Amino acid sequence: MPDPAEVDLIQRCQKGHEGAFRELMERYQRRTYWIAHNMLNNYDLAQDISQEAFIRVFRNLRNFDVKKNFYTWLYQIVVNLCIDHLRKMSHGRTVDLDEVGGLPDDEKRNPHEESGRAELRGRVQKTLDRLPPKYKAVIMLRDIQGFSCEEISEIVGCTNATTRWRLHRARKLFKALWTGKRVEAARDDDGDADLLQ
Amino acid sequence: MGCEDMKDLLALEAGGDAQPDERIAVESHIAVCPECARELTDYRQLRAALAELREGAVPSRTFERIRGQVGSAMKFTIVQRSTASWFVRAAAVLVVGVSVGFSSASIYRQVTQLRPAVEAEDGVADQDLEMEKGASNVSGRPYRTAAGARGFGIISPPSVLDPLRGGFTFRIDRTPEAKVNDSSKDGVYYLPRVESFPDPHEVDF
Repeated sequence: MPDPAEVDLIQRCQKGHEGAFRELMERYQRRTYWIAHNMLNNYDLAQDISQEAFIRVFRNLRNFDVKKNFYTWLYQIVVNLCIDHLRKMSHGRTVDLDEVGGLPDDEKRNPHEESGRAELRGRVQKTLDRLPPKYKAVIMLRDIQGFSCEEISEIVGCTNATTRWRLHRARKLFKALWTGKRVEAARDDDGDADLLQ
Repeated sequence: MGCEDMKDLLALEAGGDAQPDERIAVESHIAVCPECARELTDYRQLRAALAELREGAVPSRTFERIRGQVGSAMKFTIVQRSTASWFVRAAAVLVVGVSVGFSSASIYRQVTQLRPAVEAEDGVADQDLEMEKGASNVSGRPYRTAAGARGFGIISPPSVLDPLRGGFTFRIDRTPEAKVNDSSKDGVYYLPRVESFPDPHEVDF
């Protein structure tokens, strides 16, 4: 159930209070930005997608049903914008299996912890970027942003069973790419590029 | 359940996403299978690595720029909406005006082209009325029937509220005063204009 204070805030936005919308943005801008950044791995694109998502929210907020969760609607817009962008950019992209290394372990991270963390983040993001968009969205929302499977189902607009299936598939693909296992490009039933082990 | 079947569940169990019965199956399997136990550990390490990406440093003024751009777009949208609203109102007024004009013209044409059949007040059907050529039958003008009878009266248009009725009401006043202008020698009978409604002496065509 949506938070009553948030419902009140959204209703004020629906009545056209610009200050209320600014408050709503401040509440969600950070997570919106990082979801976009996790998906696109680019600061400028993440900023553009965040702006576009908030503009779309503003234009369509009058039709929003306050009984529903606002954040799943907002993140759905963000994820869909990111997936659209990735699909546009994916034409002609090739998969480079040499870009990723082995499993992270504490020994590698200890000597220079900060640089080790930065390196780890870079490797994780590179591996993530090689996943097909719909798998990337699910694993990002669950394992990075910490949403539940039910929340993810609302955000990506599919059933809970589909979310769990995609999640299991995404983790297997991520692990295969991380460990340098051979993967082959293929097409799934949605026409997206898929990676088969 | 073998290791191959278990591998699918390990990916879910690593994030706590396996169902209760699946979790029991995984736990009992990894208790006797070191390879699957290691794989589960690998999945958990990968999840921990992914969690590193949750948030990090953001270029300065990123959120201010986002709010600024969205604010500009909001103002533009508000102006667009108010302009669109003004155009919709203007268009509505125009449509209503044009409709009223066309309706009036249409009613006027119907009235001037009328060839009504008349029924006498006593209920006996009379012959068709034939309007005298060139004579208007609107608002107290003289007219002549097909049988040669002539009259003077008012024919009111169809009711706006009851357009299906489709008839015209011809009001006849049979009071003695109405025959003031009666010229009986040539059979001319004049009907005066009746201003009030309802009229007890009215005939529907």
